[in-house]
Amino acid sequence: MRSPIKVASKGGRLNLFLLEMIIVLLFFSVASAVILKAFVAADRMSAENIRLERMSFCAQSAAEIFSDTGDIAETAEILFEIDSERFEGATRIDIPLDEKCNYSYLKDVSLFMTMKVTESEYEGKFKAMNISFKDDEGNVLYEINTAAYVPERTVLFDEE
Amino acid sequence: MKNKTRPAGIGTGYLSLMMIFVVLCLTMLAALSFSAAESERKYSEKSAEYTKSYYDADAAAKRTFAKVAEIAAEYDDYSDFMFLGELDMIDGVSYESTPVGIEISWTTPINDRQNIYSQIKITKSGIDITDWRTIQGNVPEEEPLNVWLGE
Repeated sequence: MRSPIKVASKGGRLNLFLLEMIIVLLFFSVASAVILKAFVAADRMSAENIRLERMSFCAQSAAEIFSDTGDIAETAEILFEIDSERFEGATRIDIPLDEKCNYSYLKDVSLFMTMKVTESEYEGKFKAMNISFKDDEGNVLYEINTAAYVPERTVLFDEE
Repeated sequence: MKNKTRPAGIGTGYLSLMMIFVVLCLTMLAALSFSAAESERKYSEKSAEYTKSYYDADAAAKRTFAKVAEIAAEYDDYSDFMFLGELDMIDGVSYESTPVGIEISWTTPINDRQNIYSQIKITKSGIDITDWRTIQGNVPEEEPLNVWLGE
């Protein structure tokens, strides 16, 4: 029995080359959809990693400043150049941040950093603080706890 | 005799071969980028987790510091047995009396391998933080690292 598929240069009969092209395109479109999905997942994962690292660095900076000053308003001022008078006496500050963890206005906000004094002892000389990062929906993405003890007569060894 | 001429253009099968090659290349690239992102994720999570553990330990060490300093503030004589008795009640604190005051040290665990070693010196003139660093194990190394100091 002869195959119905024949190579022909003139129209009207099935062209083997076109048939192959159609099959190849179909397979390629399915394969590329799967591969594209993998690329998108890798890109999203990479973006999340960068965001986690930025949050971690930002939290470290805040923790170091807080351990030196013992004051969250001052921490916000040094870290984000926000006027500390706005938060004088506050025990909780919510700071909107953009994706690079810079203080931002509400237009390009993608994160919220919350600094909250959770404990205060010894007449306020010892303070514990929780630093947390939340997304738009309020899900906690990262958080650390830190503390500051600022006695009146402490001298750091590298200041001697 | 009849002349047989082959049609010009790409022959049958070349397209399939090219497609297989391209799909294989793309699959390999996708797998590589995914595995790179995955290993990066593990590293970022480890780093973030370590930061969290470090600051938890740092906060605990500062809490101990606050306790010690507040007790010391109530005494003038740092060899007073009442003062030393109160220090004994704080977990992990060891002390050594000096002619001018007292040296107090403690370690706070960060994880299974690392600790924060803290040492303070209390004298009549105040409290000096003489050491506050991350160490491997429980005992700080006395010998400094043999590094070039640029001299």
